[in-house]
Amino acid sequence: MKRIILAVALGLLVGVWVWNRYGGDRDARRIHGRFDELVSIVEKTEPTNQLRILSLAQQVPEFFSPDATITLAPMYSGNLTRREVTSYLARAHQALDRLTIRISDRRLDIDRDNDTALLRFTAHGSLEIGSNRDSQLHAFELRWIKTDGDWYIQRATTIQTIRRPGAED
Amino acid sequence: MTHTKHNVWIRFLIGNRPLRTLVRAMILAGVCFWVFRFSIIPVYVRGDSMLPTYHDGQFGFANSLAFRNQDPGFGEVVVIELSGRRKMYLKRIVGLPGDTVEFRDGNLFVNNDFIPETYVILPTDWTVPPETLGQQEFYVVGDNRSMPWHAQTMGIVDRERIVGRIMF
Repeated sequence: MKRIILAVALGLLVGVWVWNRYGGDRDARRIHGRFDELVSIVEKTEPTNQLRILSLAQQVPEFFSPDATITLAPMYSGNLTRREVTSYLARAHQALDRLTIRISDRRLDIDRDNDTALLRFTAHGSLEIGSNRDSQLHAFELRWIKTDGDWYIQRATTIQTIRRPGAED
Repeated sequence: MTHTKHNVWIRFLIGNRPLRTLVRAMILAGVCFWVFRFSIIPVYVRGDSMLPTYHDGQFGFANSLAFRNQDPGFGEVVVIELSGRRKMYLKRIVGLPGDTVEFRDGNLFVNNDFIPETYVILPTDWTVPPETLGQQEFYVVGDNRSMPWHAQTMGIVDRERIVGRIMF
C-alpha cells in the first residue's frame, strides 16, 4: 500500500513537471514549436549543397510577419526585413561549416487581449569555419503576433546585456 | 536469490518506511531547491575570457545573496544575467557608478588614475576609449586581455543584471 502511495506521489510530481513544461497552453506550445523549428533551420549541423541552403533559407520568411523588423546588433548593424534575413542566413550557411545553437532561459509572456507574445531567451551559438571556432552568447527578445490563427515574429531584438564602450544605448 | 536481491535494493532505496523516506526526500529536495534557487548559483566556466583566473571547464559557485544589501565593489568577480540564470557572463568589475574608465596601451585608468591589476597576467595592449558610467552602471571586463578588446564581451552593465559574486 505504502509503495503505491509512493509511486502515485512520484507520478504526480513528474506529471506536474511535464504539464508545466509541455502542456496546458495551446498558444504557448505553438510559439515554442515554431521557435524550435526556426532554430533548427538557422542551425547548420552537416555539409549542405547550395540548393538545400536556398531551400532552407526560403522557409525563414514563413516565421515572420510581413512588417517584421530584425535587429541583430552587435553582430549586424541596422535593421533587417524578413527577406534580408533570408539572404543573410543563406550567405552565413555558405560561409560556415557548422553552426549550432543552444537555447536556454526561455520566458514567454502572452498578452491574450492583444494577441501578442514576448519570448525572451539566451542563445549560445558555436560556429566553425575550417579549423577556426568561435562562440557567442546573446540574449534575445522576440515579439510574436497572432494573425489568421497562427503566430508570427513581428520584432526580433538582441538585448545588449553588456554594452561595448562607445556603442549607443 | 534474485528475488531477495531485488528486495535488498528496494529496501536500500526506500528503507523500511517508504512514507518517511518520501517525506525526507521531499524536504531534501525543498532545501536543495531553495539553496540553488535563491542563494547559491553553480557556475561552470566556458571560454577563455577570464584566463588565467578562471579557465574553460572550471566549476565553482556564486553567492546570489551577496549584493542584496550592498553594491558590487571594485575588483570583484561577478556573474551577470542575460535572460535567466542558466547561461551567464563571468566578469571582473573595474569601474563603479560615476567613474570614467579607459584602457591605454594595456593599462587600466579609472578617473585618469592608473590602476595596477595583479590578476592580468597575459600580455595586453588594449586601448579602449573612455566611458563615463551612470549611477546604476558598472564597467566589467574579463581578465584575459590578450585577445583583441572588440573580440571580448566587455563594457557597461546595469546594476540589476549583476546577480552574484563568485565564491570559489
